Amino acid sequence: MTQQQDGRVQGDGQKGRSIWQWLALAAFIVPMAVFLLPTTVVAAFLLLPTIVALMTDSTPGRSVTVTVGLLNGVGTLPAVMHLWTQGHYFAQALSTVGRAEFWLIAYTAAALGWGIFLGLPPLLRQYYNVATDTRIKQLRKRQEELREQWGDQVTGEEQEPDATNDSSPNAFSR
Amino acid sequence: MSDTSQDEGQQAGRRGGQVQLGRHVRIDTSRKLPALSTDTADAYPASDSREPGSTLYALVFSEDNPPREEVIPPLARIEGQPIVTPVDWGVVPWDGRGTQRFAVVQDQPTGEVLAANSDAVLPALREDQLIERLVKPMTRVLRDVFDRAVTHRAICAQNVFTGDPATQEMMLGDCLAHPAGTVQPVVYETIQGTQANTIGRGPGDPRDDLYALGVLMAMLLRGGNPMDGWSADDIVMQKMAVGTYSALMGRTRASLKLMEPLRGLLTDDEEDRWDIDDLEMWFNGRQLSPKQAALPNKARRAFRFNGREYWSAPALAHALAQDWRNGVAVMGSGEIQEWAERSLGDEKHANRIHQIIAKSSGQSDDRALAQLLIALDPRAPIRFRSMAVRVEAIPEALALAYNREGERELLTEIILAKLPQRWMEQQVDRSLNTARLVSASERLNSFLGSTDPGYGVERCIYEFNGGWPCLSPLVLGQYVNHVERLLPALEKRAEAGAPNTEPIDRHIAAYCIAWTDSQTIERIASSTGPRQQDVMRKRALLHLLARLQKKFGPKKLPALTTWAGRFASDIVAGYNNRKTREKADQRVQRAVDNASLIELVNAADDPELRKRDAAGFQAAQQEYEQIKQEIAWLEDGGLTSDANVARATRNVATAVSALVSGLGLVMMTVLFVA
Repeated sequence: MTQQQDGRVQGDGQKGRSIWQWLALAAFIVPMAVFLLPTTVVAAFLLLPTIVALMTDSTPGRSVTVTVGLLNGVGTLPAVMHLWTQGHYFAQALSTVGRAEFWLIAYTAAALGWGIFLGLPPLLRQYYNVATDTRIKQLRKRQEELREQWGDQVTGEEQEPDATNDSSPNAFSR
Repeated sequence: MSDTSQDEGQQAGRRGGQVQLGRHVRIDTSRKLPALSTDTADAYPASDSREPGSTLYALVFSEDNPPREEVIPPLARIEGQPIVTPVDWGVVPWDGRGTQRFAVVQDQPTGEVLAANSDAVLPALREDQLIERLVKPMTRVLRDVFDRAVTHRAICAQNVFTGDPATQEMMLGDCLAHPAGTVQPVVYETIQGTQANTIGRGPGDPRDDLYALGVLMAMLLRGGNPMDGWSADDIVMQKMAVGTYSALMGRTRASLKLMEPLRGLLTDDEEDRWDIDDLEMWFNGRQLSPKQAALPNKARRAFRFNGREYWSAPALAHALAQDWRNGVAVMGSGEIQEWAERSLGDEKHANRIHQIIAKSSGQSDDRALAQLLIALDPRAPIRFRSMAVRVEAIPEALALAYNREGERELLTEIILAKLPQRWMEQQVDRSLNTARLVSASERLNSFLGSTDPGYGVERCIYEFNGGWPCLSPLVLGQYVNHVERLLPALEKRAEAGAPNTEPIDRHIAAYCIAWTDSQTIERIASSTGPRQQDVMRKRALLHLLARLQKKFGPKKLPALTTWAGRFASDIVAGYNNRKTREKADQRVQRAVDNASLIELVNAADDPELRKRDAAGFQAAQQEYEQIKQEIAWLEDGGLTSDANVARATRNVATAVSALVSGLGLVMMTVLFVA
């Protein structure tokens, strides 16, 4: 519930982002992409899984994008490093994009991200099943202790009015 | 006191038909003295080791007929006068079963009683004999009695003795054995005393004793009772018609000298009646003109009731009181009001009657007639159906009538109807201390207005009758005439086998409040009633017993503590926490072993412990409820739900991804640098 609320708040925040913010972002990113055009070309090809994830991600906080993007980003770094060390030119960028090992590294990393995201739920469900059973056992034991210590009245069921719990416990001592 | 020591105490108090009272007095219970016994107490010979030659006798009382305990100490201080006075008194062990009685040891009267019974012939005395043998000594005696702020209220030929043959002075007999005014034949009572029921006469005041002395003088002068065999009703009507002096003396002539005290003592107007100073002045030679009989105002026209004519308001009131049913009918007809206005000849009195009739409209017929009778004859006792009682005698009458249901109900109704207050409003006699009587009447009314323990008739009895023994069935036979004796009496009851009841009842609650005069005790005692919750009641009774032990002892009460321990266990069972209960149970057991009610109440009802237990229980209940909710949430799939798994997946995936990415970066950095 809290998460849903968080997501809604976040969504509202995105919806609420004004046109001026978008313009400001574009005003920075577009010149930067043009200025670093070789890098932009390499990234555009190798970060394609992240771009797809970004476009399809509807989870709160865009966690799929983050998960895939982080690993995809790290997987893209060898290609970018290669470009920067071999010369930051458009031709070199196309040469780098043409090398299969960079595609393999970037897309494998992205696939790992997807794998993590898709493989976790069954594992977590299993973990939570075990955790639930353990916790219920602990709680029931505590309830039993309370009952033993305070009697069945502590359960609040069939509780008779407690005559001794008068507002003035020492009414006769004054 | 342990069982053994108590038994030893009883043995010490009672050995072989001898009962020891105090250190010096011994009562021989093996033979009775029928001549000195009364219908309320048996008499036995007694001896005092300080005065071996003295002729003493003991009157032994049970709770059913207690003596006038409040007059014993004052009378005991009278010395050298011809009156039977107490020498020693107190509670004594009476039999092997632990019964206790109240014994009063007195000097035996000297000589023969003037009249063994009401039929006996009285001797006639010459005037000089009457003065020397009766009036002189009785004046001295009554002066001493009145100086001690008490009254005798048993002056009659059946209680006056011929006295010492040497001095020839007559001797006044005992006045403790009967409630005040109940032993005198009605002729010795004033008109108002005669109109009252026997239990409603009360201790009265010195003028009642002086009136009785006057009656005795008149009888001895003429040698008998002229109204012997008359009914009380006839005596009243005759006294009202001609005055007491004329009714008693008839045609008997008294010398002018003796006529003075006779008329002075026998005048029916209390304000005009001689007091003890007048009598002493007369002895000292001061001449007072003989008082004329103060007869009630005669009406211009008689009021006819039940075929007889009544010429005065008091006579009519008396007649109406004697036939209550017809009295109610006549009152309803309005004839009395008309008669008072037209014929009474006393406008103020007629107005008072008119006002009281107007005020009493809407009340029950009985209450209205009672008020009308007060208005007709304000000096008369309060009359209500078959009960007639003087205002100051109401508390004692309640005590005497406690076991007589009809009379008790009537007295209760009198108080609840505020008839004493109405009576006082009608008084014109300024010598009456109405403020004291009003205050007492209001208190009686408030006590009867509550049904809680510590109130009701029982409170009225003990609050206003000092020395009246506690009538609780739990201590009956122990003669508890002081609150100090209450716990030992309950201890004996417990030793004999504690009943399945609580050790406090309405009598004991009222008795404790009346004796301790403590608001705390009053609050606690009133909480022992059945309207209270069970545990509250038991707590209250334990606290009450503990307070009594703390204040009056004794230190050890093993049987009573065991008895009270039953109720302590019920209180302990009220603790919620098991460990607290176990600890409290152990402390209760220790208190029972130590025979201490104080320890017992501390063990069973520790306020701090109770507070902690209540707070702990509340916290435990909250915790239990929270756990219940958490279990329900878990069982409803709180953790395993799709939403929770999705949320966890998002968080965990992000974290793992960040971790692996970080590792990858580190590795690449290492490779790049290398």
